[in-house]
Amino acid sequence: MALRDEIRRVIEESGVVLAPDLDDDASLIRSGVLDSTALFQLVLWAEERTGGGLDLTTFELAEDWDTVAKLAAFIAARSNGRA
Amino acid sequence: MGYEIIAYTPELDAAIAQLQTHLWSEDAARNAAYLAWKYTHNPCAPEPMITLALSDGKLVGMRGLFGMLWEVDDAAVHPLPCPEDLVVLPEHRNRGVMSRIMHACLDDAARHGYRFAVSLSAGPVTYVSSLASGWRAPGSYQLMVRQPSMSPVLQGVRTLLRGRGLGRLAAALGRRFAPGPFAHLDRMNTGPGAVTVSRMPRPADMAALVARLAWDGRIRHVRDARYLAWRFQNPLHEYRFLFWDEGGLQGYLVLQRYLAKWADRTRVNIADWEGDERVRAALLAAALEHGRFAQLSTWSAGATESTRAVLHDAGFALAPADDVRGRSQGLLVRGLGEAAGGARWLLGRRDLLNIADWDLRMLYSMMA
Repeated sequence: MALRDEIRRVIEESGVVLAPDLDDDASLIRSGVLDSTALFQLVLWAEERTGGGLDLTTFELAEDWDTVAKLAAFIAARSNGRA
Repeated sequence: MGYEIIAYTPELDAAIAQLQTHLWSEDAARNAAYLAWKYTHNPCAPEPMITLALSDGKLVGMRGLFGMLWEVDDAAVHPLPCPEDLVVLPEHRNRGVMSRIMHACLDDAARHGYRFAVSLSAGPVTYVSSLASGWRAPGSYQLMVRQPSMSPVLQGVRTLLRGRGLGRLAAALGRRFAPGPFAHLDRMNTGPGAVTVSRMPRPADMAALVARLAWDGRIRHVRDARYLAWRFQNPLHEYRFLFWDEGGLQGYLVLQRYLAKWADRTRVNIADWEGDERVRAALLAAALEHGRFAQLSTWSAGATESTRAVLHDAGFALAPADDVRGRSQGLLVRGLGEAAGGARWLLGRRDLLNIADWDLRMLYSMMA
């Protein structure tokens, strides 16, 4: 599964209904599409996907994860070839 | 679906108590008492600051601003609100209502003239969402836990029962041999030597002791008699007080446990602990000897090296923080209004973003 599809799946599994035509650059966090529970599920998934040790205070969550495209880039950069 | 964001009015008390059966406790009457205690009778805030969300006239969400008074260095007092009690009905989540409530709540705080807000009781979910909405994390509370209690034989029997699908029997066995967390302590009617145990605080004596003891000027909550008289009336918690008297009160240790059904009711927290080193060590030793707690926890972030050593010697160890759940428990600070863009977030001369500038105690949070 492509990383972007995987991200959408994780978000939808936490109860968020994403429009099928939602752009990869559409805001998820700043727009309020993701509530706290959905964001937390995403963090849990991201930590597992990147091999653990995710320190949320070392980057700007709302900025660096605000879109599917940004989050995919973040995960890919930290996955050390696992993406 | 449209949502209306409104400010608190007392007419909504019953609806709030019912809404908070999703967060505070399963008992609406207990929740009503908690609401009144926390927001109406709080001596640190002139009026309740609560933001609510309505949908078709029905209450579906809430965020409160709990008033706190902090002091630094020359004992200058700074009111800082603490956002808490965020709840949205499950069927209204993921629709942006949480975000709207939180923004409205913080805008309200800025309008009231507050420059900063602090958050001390955020669970992992709220902690993460706070980092995504302008909050900053000075550091972890460094929770220390002591879990001695159950004998290896009893523990082995319970494990065996669980392994055979007899979990309820295992739990009953645990309750039989590990009764209510204060049961042993309550038998200590007259303490050894200078130590006594009580169900009631001694606000005037405790406040006088705090005022008399040396203080390094780090950020701490005001602990005057009025605050201490109110603080331990929390209807969701139960407290025990160990006092050390020697020509007047020389030290105290406050223990707390949860009452809500879904909370971990075996866990006991050290909410506050005062006195010189000798007295504090003696109070802890008495609590451990007579309390025989299944699980005793405290924050160590604000503790001195000698206090950490006392805790370590008594069998406390830092709680594991292997995953994001374990690391998402700590102090949060947010600038409000113009202060949000400031280069440094200061309270007096103290840096709000430096955990070393805080004299943290679990007492200051609603975790205890």
